[in-house]
Amino acid sequence: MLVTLQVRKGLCLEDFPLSQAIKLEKDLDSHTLYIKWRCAHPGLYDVEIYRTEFMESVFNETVEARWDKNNGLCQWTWTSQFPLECTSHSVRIRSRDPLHVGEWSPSSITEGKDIPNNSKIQVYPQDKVVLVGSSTSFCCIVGEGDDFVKMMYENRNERELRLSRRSYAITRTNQSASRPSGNNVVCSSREAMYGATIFVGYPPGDYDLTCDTRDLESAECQWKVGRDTRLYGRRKTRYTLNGRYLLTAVCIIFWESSWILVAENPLGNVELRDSAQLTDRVHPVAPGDLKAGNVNAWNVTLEWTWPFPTYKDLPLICQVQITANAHSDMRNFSRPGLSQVSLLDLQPYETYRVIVRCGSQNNFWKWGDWSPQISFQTKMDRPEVPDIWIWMKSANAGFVLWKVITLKIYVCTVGIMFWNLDGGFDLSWPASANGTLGYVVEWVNTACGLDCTVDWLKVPDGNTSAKIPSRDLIAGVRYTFSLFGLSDEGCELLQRWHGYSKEMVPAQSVLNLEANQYKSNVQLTWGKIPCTSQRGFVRGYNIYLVHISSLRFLTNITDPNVMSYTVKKLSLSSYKFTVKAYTDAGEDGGATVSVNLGPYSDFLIVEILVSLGSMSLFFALIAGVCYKKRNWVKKAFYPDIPEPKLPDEWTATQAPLEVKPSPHSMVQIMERQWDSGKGGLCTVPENDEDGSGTGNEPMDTDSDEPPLLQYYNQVVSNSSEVHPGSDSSSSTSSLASANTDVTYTGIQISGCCYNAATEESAECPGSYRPQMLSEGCQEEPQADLESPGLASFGGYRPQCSWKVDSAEALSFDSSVGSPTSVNSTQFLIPDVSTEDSRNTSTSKWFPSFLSGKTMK
Amino acid sequence: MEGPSDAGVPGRSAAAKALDLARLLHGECARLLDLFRERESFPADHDPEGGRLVSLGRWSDDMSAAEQVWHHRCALRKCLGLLELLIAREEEEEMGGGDEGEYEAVRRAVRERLGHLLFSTAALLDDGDDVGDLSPQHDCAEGRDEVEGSGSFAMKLWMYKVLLELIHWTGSTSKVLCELHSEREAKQEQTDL
Repeated sequence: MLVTLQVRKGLCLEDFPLSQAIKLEKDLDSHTLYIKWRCAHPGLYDVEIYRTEFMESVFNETVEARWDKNNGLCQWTWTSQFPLECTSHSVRIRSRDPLHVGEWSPSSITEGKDIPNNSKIQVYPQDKVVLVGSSTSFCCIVGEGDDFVKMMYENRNERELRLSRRSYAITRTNQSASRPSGNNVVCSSREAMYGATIFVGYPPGDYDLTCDTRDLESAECQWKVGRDTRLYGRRKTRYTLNGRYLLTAVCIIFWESSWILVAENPLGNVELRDSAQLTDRVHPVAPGDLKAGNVNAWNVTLEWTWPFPTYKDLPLICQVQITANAHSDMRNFSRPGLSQVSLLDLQPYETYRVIVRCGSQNNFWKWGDWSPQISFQTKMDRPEVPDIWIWMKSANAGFVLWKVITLKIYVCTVGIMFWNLDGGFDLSWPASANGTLGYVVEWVNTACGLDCTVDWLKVPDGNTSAKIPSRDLIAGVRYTFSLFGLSDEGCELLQRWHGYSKEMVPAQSVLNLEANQYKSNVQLTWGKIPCTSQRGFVRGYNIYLVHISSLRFLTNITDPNVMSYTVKKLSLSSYKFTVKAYTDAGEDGGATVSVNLGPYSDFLIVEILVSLGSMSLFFALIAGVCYKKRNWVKKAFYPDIPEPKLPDEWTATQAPLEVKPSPHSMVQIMERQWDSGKGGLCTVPENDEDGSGTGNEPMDTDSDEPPLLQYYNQVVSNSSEVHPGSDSSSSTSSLASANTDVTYTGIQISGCCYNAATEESAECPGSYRPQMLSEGCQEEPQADLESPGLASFGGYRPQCSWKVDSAEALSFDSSVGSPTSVNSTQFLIPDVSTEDSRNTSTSKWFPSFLSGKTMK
Repeated sequence: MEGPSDAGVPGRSAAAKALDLARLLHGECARLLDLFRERESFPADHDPEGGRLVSLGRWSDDMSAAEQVWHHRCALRKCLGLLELLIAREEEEEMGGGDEGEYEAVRRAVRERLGHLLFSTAALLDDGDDVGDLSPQHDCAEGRDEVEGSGSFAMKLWMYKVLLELIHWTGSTSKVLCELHSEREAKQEQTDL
């Protein structure tokens, strides 16, 4: 029972924790407050934290405390936004469970730096180092009795928050990297100025640690420094390699086969590792004391030393770079502990510059450093026999050529060791009896005319191959190689080749590209690319169809001699074709031709025939319709002219008008029988005295063309309307007794009509004058009227007689009672000189022409 | 280094040359402070509080111009020591980022010219007979080279004060050199008469 009571008492202790049981510890760097109190087991607690001076709560939550059973303490951690120095904080707690909430403990206080004892101005935090982009809060505690004025971050005012009587705080977010001396936060009070410095940067970003050895004993490690941490001085990155501090990014330590480099600054650290065997990481130092000994005309001995005895047995490969006359060559030598080499095949009396470097021959790691450069001059020697060649341009003319000894020999001998045969020629041939003294390979630009650059190579006896280096040849140039056999007999051409040291794309497109249409096909033809522009062996041609912005491949012609291609079955449109020749190096830029594919002849004929057939069918259809609807057509276009309203005696008879013929002349007017009843026929006034001249003319009775006659009649009718008086006067004396057929047989010059118009205008206006008279010939008819020749114009007489039918000048005596036929095959042209006449004729003549019928 | 003595140069006395040098140095010290303020974004309207870093051990208004120059020279020697300490601390902290900008160039010029001024004034005082038994080795001035407070900002404030001291003492030295120059000119005129 007692035990139970004690246990209950122990549990109840947590309901009222003593004030001294709350222990506060703080970490100023992290603004962290550790709250500890005695407890028997973990549980829920209410924790309240407030700024002591203003009793301003900054935290009040129920938390689950962490319990340490070893010391019987519960702990909870709180991190403040502001440095804990800024002001004092009070903490109180109480226990909580689902059924019970304990009493608040007395408050425990952690003092800030704003207590009265610290009377000077202060700013917190000092010298903090933070990451770029982070936020930091600062507070300024002004001096006792002083007044706060402002806080600035890098000379920029910040809005402050008052934490206590003397403490003011600001928060700067998203900070950028600081200056090398750090960014300053300056607090100004009425009487003082103070501040803090903050350093904003990055953690180390170093990488790529590599260690090797120079002396075969120690390791030299290097690594790459990453991004600038923006931290300097005591905050910059510090390095340790295998636990030893380093001062530079290059360090030398004893070889340990594995290394760990730690780069560290206040914001973090990075660990780099490397491992290797010593023999795999030999990085030789530069050869020392390089000198040229035993200098001769054609060779020299190079010597140098190594600073480390460990190099003595080290297999080394060394490069010797020789430079003379702007030409450089590299020679390799290898040997354990190499420190001497012989340079052969040098040029006499030549100055050379030499540098040497070496690497480990086994498990090569990297080349060592170059030695300092030295120079030497080879000794003089007798010149060699010049290399001579005669290049025959014709049977009895040639060029004597020889090679310059000095440079050529140097280049050849030096370069032959590392000759790159890419692009050169490797020639071989069967042995010839004509080559007892050797051979000569000669090459020359194939396209060259005169003044060619001829080069040659002498091949000793017994050899049947030669290598022509690419450096003696120009890429894209076709060379002709000739092999000559040398013998006691002389020199004989054995073989000839053509070739390019390096083929290039043609410099020019195909020539004369043309496109011709054949029906629906297009034939492309082109010419060869000139030899000098080929720059390689033309292997064939590629044909493309040009689209808007691309080429569509049509075909590949692999025979370079084929220079035409037919593109078949094209539709009618415009096309562009591109032809590109190609060599082994690729295609040229291409030549392009355009063709507009039009309709071809067969298609044209078919098209014409179809058109003609369609038109014929159309006209036949129209004709048929017109025929069937002829009555409607007639009514629509040529309605009947109402009959004139005449006195009864006129209307009583439907017979042709009977005109009483003149006692001297009669004009027979013919018309269709069916028209006679229409009353369209007008009387022609006659005068006994008129037509005396015309009455003697023979009358043409052969023609019976009603339209012309009708036309004539119509005009007469019009005339009669205009001059009814004259009509009535003449109607009684003309047609009744004499019928006259009027037929026009040709274009007649109507002089009488002119007379009528001028001299008898009262009668001519409105009358018809079948044929026009030009102004120039107006005088003649007047004269002809009186002349005897006028009688021969028999066809004209009726008009004249009619025109002047009421004039006194004409007499019809001779024609009285005889029919007269005037046949005219000419078109009857109305007189345009008279306005009335023109109006009348055009208004009636055109429908008459269309209808082909007699006008009424 | 310039020649220590200008006695051979006709027309201008050593005092006048020292005066010109002090005035030039005074201007350069002011420029150096401007550059420091600019680098550190310090407000120009608020100097750090506190007393002088360099103070004279004995001072009396009854001193002759030469004695005043002698005492100022002592202060300048302290200033040079503080400046060299400032330079060492700035370089240790790489406050300039390792590159030499205008601030570092002016700082170097001030240090060198301050050395010249000390040399000139020493020669000036050696040539005169009005200094008495004052020895250059005498501890005539006090200088506080410790930094009040901890942290980089306290260090910067100390540097700020060092530069203020330089301005103060070069300006003050100019004044006493001017008096010395006037005195000696007057004495020279009397001698000439």
